[in-house]
Amino acid sequence: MAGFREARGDLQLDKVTKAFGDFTAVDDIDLHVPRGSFFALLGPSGCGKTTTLRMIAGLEQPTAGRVMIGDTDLTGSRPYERPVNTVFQSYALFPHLSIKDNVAFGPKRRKDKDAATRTDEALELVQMTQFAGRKPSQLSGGQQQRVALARALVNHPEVLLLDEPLGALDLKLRREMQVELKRIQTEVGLTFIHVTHDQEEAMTMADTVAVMNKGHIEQLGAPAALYDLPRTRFVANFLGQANTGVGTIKDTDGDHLVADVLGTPVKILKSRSQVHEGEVLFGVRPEKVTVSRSQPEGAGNDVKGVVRDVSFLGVATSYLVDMPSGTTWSCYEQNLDVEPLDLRPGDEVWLTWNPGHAFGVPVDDETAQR
Amino acid sequence: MSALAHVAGDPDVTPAPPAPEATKRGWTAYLLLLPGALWLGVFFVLPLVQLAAVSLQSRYPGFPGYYYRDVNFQNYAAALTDYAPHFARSFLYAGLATFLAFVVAYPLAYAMAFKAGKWRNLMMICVIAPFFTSFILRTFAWSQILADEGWVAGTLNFLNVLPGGNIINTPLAVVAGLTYNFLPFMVLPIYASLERADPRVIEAGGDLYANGFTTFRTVTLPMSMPGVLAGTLLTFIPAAGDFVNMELLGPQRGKMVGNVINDQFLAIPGGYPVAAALSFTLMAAILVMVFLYVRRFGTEELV
Ligand SMILES: Nc1ncnc2c1ncn2[C@@H]1O[C@H](COP(=O)(O)OP(=O)(O)OP(=O)(O)O)[C@@H](O)[C@H]1O
Ligand SMILES: [Mg+2]
Repeated sequence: MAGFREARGDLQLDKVTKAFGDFTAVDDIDLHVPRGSFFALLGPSGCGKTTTLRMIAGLEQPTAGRVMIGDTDLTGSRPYERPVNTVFQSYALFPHLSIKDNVAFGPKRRKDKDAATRTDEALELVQMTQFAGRKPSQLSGGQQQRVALARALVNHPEVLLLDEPLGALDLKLRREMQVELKRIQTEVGLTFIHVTHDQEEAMTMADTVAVMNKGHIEQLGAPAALYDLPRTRFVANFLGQANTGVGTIKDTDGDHLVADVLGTPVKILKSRSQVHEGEVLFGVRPEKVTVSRSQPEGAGNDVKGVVRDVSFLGVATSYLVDMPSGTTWSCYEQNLDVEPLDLRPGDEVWLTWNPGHAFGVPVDDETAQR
Repeated sequence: MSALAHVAGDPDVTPAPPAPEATKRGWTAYLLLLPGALWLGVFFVLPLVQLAAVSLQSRYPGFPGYYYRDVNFQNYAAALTDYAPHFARSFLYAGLATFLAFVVAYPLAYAMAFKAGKWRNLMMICVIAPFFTSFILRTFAWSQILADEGWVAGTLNFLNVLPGGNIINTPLAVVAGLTYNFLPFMVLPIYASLERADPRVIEAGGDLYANGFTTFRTVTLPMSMPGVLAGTLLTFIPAAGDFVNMELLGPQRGKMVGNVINDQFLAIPGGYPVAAALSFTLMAAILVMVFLYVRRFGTEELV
């Protein structure tokens, strides 16, 4: 029994599935999280993030598959036997205990000799020292969230599960906490599994981001890689903005595929496309698109559109452009020219991008994944 | 009398300043309180004043059943000296019954809140069902269940584990009856407080290295304390004043205070003042006990 709590090493989910009745909340997930890394789990509401965390914590047993830390198979062990702590989405503070006793709960159970000092440090960290004597019901939502964070962090577990731990905090405190979390994670070398709805948070903090949808992981990788080269339509749209269009692959040109989009040829690098024949959804990020009044020279892709909306942002000007296909694209003009384009709604413009920035994904996600 | 006049007089007082919003709302609150206050005034405060007056009356010597108005504390002295053993028995039996009811009720309420699943409503109905028949009838039924010819006494006698040979007409039967009769009052508040507890909070105990028992001891039980407190009060208070269980299940000698009050009022000529004094003493004793108990175990910060 003591064995589980001493488990050290990488976190590994091995074909883990969780079904509630005939509804599959988590579907055959394989995951490898190296020890000491910051792993973010991103996905829409109800996609199974909390369920995945609960299986790692032992609060839920998988219907199939294994949960391992290092060489120790934790599947079937009880939550209190695992070197894992959770920051619950709903905080789940003990209502009958003071803030201090809430935080000291874990260390006391483990008979930690330094329980008192550790508790004080943890409270200090989340800036809650002055509220140590209060009960949870006497705190605001954001304060409760910080206590929940301290209550889990104080134990320095091998794996820390954070279920939207900063959701209730204002922007300033949120940024401070992000920095603190990152610092603790690197200093102590804990493995963090961080669930969040905030893409920016996931991108800035995590070593690896996994995008989850309908119980399975759509794509996993470094934040920049995921943003640069999404492999499914879902990931392309979920992570940042994407300008997209549907075309039919007609031809190849050296390293490029040539797709026909309403009569206009559009080039995509073969290595950046998941499909090589038939219909393709091509996409390009807004900041990779250049706007001009006349058709530019060069080997790039170009499409004509009509300006719908202009917003001046200071460093850049943002345009929404109606495309011939009926979709609306977004792009930016850096405000560095002495004579700006000065576009108005209704003006015709040419949008260009380097084929090396475009990506191609299957039009239909369902057929692609399974 | 003065109590009634006071309560009834309240609404006739005209509000002095022409009302701004806040005062208006204040008056609405008083208006809503009025029916309850009137009811309590007529049926609780008045009889209480009456009872207090009676408890201080003296008898006409030689005319049983006749009293005159007096300030005679002798009745209280009699209540405390002659009937001290009855008070002691009342509190002992009620205390035992409360303890037993707690021991039975907690696991039951726990199972209903966390383990029952689809059976929960059925269990709830079973807990409440006894209220559909009268308290007296059910206690009568118990007198048959515990009778010497009944199967309970029969079985225990067969196994030779019943010292006196019978259950009926012993304090044991009284405690059993009290436990049974007040069990729902223990189950329901405990169930309510357990049911209200966030399951995630209990899971958090497990997540923070507390095993099943430790989680129960340090999280679940403390969180249900308001229910336990309410349940023990709702059981102990009526049990301490009860006389039906003793009357129907108990021995001839060694009665409880409730029986004495009952007898003094109804059976003994001229017993009214002593009965009233006993009632007041019982009430005061219970109040003091409840006050100390709530002071000791009350967790008023708990929401
Ligand atoms: N105990 C349960 N019984 C039945 N279905 C459940 C249970 N727990 C979760 N589910 C379902 O499983 C799916 C995934 O739930 P989960 O809580 O993991 O979502 P989530 O990704 O954390 O969402 P959110 O971002 O809203 O917190 C949901 O459709 C939910 O309804
Ligand atoms: Mg969730």
